Amino acid sequence: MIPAIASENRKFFSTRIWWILLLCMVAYVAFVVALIAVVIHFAEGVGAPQGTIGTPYSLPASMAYVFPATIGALAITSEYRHQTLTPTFLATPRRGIVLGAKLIGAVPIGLVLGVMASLTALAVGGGTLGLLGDDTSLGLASSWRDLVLGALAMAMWTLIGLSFGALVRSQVAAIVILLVFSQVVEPILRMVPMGVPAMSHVVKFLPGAAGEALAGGGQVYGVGSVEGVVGLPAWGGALTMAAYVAVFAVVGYVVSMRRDVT
Amino acid sequence: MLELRGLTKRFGRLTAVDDLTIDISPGRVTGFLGPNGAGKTTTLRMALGLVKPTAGTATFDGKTYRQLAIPMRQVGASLEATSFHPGRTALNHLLTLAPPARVPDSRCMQVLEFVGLGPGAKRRVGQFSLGMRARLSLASALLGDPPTLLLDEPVNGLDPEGIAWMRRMLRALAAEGRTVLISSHLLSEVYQTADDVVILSRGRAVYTGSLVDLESSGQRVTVVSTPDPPAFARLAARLGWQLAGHPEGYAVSGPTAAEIGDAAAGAGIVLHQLATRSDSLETAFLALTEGQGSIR
Repeated sequence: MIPAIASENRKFFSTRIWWILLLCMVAYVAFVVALIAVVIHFAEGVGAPQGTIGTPYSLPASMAYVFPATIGALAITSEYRHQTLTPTFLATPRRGIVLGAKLIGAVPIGLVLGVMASLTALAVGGGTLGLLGDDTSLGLASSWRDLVLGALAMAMWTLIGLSFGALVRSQVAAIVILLVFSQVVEPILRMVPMGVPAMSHVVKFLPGAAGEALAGGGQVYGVGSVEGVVGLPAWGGALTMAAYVAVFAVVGYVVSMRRDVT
Repeated sequence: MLELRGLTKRFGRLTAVDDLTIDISPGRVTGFLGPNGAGKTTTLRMALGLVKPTAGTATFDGKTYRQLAIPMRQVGASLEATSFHPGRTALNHLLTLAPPARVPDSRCMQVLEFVGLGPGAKRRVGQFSLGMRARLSLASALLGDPPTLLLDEPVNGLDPEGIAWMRRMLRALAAEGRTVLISSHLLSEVYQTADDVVILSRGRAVYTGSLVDLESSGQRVTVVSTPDPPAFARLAARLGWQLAGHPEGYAVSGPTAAEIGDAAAGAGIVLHQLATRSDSLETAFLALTEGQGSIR
């Protein structure tokens, strides 16, 4: 298993896509966090009590999770795309070990992405609020909790993307589905409880909602914004995300990875 | 020693490989021949655990590929020259394989230099020519210094100098006692390299044995030119000779040149050329694989 993980690690860092996506993620997080910090400033300026709007620190897991998910998906779909599964399986013929090595190898990578996202949120969010003369909320333990658990949520997203890629195989299909689901489908589904409150018990298990629950977010698409409805606790969000990883990985292994490589 | 036992692969109703039982011996270069679509690549992929056989087994010294403790140390394979990430350098490609092959990183540069890719080691594979990819593919196969080599169309894309180099190297590897199997759809490509050949047609082994024996089993072909082709065709039909068209007249298989000359003289037919061709090996190959088109 350890040689297979070393192999996956080298594959990841020997092409350019990882740092391109990392830079995109940092730029996007910086943009969103700065924007929301400004919104918080003006909302509080027009009379919203301080602290009720929330903080920008949990935003990466709400808005930018498509980046770690894509990086995870590429780790396996690029092998299908460039037919490098042949050398991969020649080196490690037991395919369950290959999938396991990819998942384990993606954990530290996902954590690095998450830490980078949280550091960006901290610097840009805290910086913007400070420059505007607002309370940065960095005195609150919950802000730091959001930053730490937000990094964990991003790491979980890397694993969800990877196991989803194992199932889908096609690079284009995996990325298109991830983008459409995260940017269109889930945001629409998340609005359903506004009309049908009972649906919130289903919607809170959507992957984006689970990630937000772990990161302490929820103010963006608002699972928790319906009266009397609570989202998952952080640990519930983490378990839900882990369940997605497990289901995608097992189904991906059985349905996709055991196929003939021709 | 690679042993195939009843190896079979069906894709739906199509039988790509049909009950193949062959031993590939060490110390020799074995040519694995057949037209495109004869089942060569599928056979190699089954032997390497990439494609699941419908029936039968392929074992290396008694173990299937998946049972090998460190597969790249036992079997080196190069399947096609396209299995590279275009954005990865040649050296990095090998470095991704070094940990599971359990070889030190320094070995990667060593094999690159051995296959003549030393100067291109830090270039992205996307910029490589087909010939350079063929060399890199071979370098991956040699990384674990394995006693068995399975190479699919190894000279594909190589220039004449590269082909000559590949031949010398394969001979040298076999001389060290390794099992070397090279596939090709062209007999001429393995003619100067292989000791034994396995000829595949429509998924079945139609010939297994030495090249020398195949050559002597080939049908004799005599090229005949005559100013009166219709008369010669009638003569051939009367005597039961097999006649085929040829740019210079007819290609006659069966009788010797002397028999053809005597019969033509007896029938009063003038001949301008009467030449026995030494392409009997190619003829035998074509006869064995006759009528097999590519699988669509």
